[in-house]
Amino acid sequence: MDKKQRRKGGIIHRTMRQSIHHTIETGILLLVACMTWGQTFKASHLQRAYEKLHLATNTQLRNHLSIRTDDRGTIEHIGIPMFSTEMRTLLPSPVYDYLEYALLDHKYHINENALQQLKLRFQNGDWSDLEQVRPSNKCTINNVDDKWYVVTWSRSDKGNISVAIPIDYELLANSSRKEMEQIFISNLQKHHPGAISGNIPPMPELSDINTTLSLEFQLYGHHKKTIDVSLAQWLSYGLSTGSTPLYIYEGRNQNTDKAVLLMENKQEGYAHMISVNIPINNRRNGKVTCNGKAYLYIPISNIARLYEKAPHHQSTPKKYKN
Amino acid sequence: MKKIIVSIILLFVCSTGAMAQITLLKINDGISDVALKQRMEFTISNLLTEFGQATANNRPLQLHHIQMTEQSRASLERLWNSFHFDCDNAENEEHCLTDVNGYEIRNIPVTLHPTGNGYKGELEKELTISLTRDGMITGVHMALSNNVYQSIVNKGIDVTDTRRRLEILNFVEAFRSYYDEKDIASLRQVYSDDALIITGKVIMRRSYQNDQPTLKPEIVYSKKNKVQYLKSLESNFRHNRFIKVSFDSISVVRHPAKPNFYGVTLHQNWKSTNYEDDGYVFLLWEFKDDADEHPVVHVRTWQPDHIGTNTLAKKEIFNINDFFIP
Repeated sequence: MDKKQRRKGGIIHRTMRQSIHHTIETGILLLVACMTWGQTFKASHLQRAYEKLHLATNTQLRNHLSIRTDDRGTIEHIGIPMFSTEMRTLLPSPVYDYLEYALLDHKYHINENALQQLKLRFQNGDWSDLEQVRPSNKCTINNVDDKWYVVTWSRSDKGNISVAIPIDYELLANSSRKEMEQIFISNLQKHHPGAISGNIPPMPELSDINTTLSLEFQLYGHHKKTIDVSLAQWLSYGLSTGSTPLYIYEGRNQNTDKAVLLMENKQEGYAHMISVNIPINNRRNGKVTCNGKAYLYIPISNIARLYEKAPHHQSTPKKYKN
Repeated sequence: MKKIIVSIILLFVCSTGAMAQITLLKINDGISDVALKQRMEFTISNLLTEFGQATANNRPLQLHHIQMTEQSRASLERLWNSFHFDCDNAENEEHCLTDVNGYEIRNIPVTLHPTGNGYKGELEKELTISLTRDGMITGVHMALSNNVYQSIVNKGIDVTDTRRRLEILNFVEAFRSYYDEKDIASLRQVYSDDALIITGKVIMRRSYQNDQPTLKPEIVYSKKNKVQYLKSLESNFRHNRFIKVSFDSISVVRHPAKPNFYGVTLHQNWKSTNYEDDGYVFLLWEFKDDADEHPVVHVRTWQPDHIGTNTLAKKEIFNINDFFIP
């Protein structure tokens, strides 16, 4: 084998290794889902807490925690209760699940990596004060410039507790972008669109809700994955996560219209974008497949200027080390 | 069309005897019904002109001639009691967004003139105007800040460019996550083989003032190539169990002459088990002509955000003009 072949072999080997590695990771993540005595979890941080605290058997602790499952029995939240059911129902916010889990994590040292939680800023009080919070305490949540949530508990005897949480989708989900992408795709594929309510913008070029979207997802580590979903499935799943759909017509190119569909979630600070090519012919016979690309979790809360003008000059001269 | 709007508004302005500037809004895309588009442009231009006149004369709004719902009129008048505002530009071009109830025009830049002394927030804001599907105004809202969604969908630039900039944000975010995951393999794919990495470091240089020796902080820069940078990064990854990188204040610039090149400037906070710093990062990205190829980074610079006690001036931060693109 000459040098060139060996190099080529090395590349193939590395690519295969990456691919196998990715497949294994995907398998694991898709089942974040991983089973613990038959128990499934919405995300890996929940499984970590469940296992570390032995919640399958530790009923005493279990009774003191807030644990929520979906209709399939998958655990979608574990935390120390801090917010009333009424507040959760009347004023939905990603802050509740985040803070209740963060407090649990802090108290029981579930996650060894505490760097993420350093983004949280106490304005009044500290973690030990948070442990004193009860769901019955009066609480307000303010959105500051779509960048921060400021949560304040009023306590008549000991003064207020106030904590600022950046609107950062990874932080609020107690998860990583890598994991969130996998969970999104898995959930999207499993999602059965019910009757979609009227919260959909007019989409003249995509008026048939049953249109198939063949979407190439641009994923972590330059991976690409193509999935066919119906437009109804995409819209319905986005709406179920609290996102708002927005439609922008981009223009016509020979036999296709181009359009951009955004799913904006201001509460959690991200948008998903799909860019689709819509064939002009056969649009009315209901058998149209639109190819497109999908980009997940585009951050929207940390942007200063998306359309910054190019400066006229270079920056000031620099001194370089030799 | 612009001429028609100008003449119609001029008539109106002359009839009221006001002298303030006329403000125009042109919808550049997002709506195909030409008559509706013109109606919306006329209504919004009238409203923006009224903002300017009322601000110039420090008077309440006169909205009887504007096609808007009673609720939105009352809401706007309440807002006007706290703030007057006028448009920064005499001519505005915006996209029309289609939403659940009708249409939205976003990103109209205005300057606030608070009527009281209590307001301490930003004076530069952007308006969002909502309309029914018939073109009647249903709401005029002040965007919360310049860094939320309204920044995303345009500033009078075409949709394709907007889409590309959103793609860049997506790639920048993925790029950030590779550091969190200590993923050298993915970073190796992002940096071009000829990548240039420049890192600034604050040193104390001795100088003399009035014959007295003093220490003055200054930044000196070092250059690395891709191999050198990734090698030192690998070592950093090995010595830190956890790394958390956060980006904020992201700005995206398209190269004026090389449309496939974009400059991204951002503020970075780097937290790791053994170390933490804050600084400005500049990234020069190239989109390949082949849409299936991911974009690559040719340049990454890092500069501390402070020199001593002073924040780094904007003119000091690397920008897209600092690098020659063949």
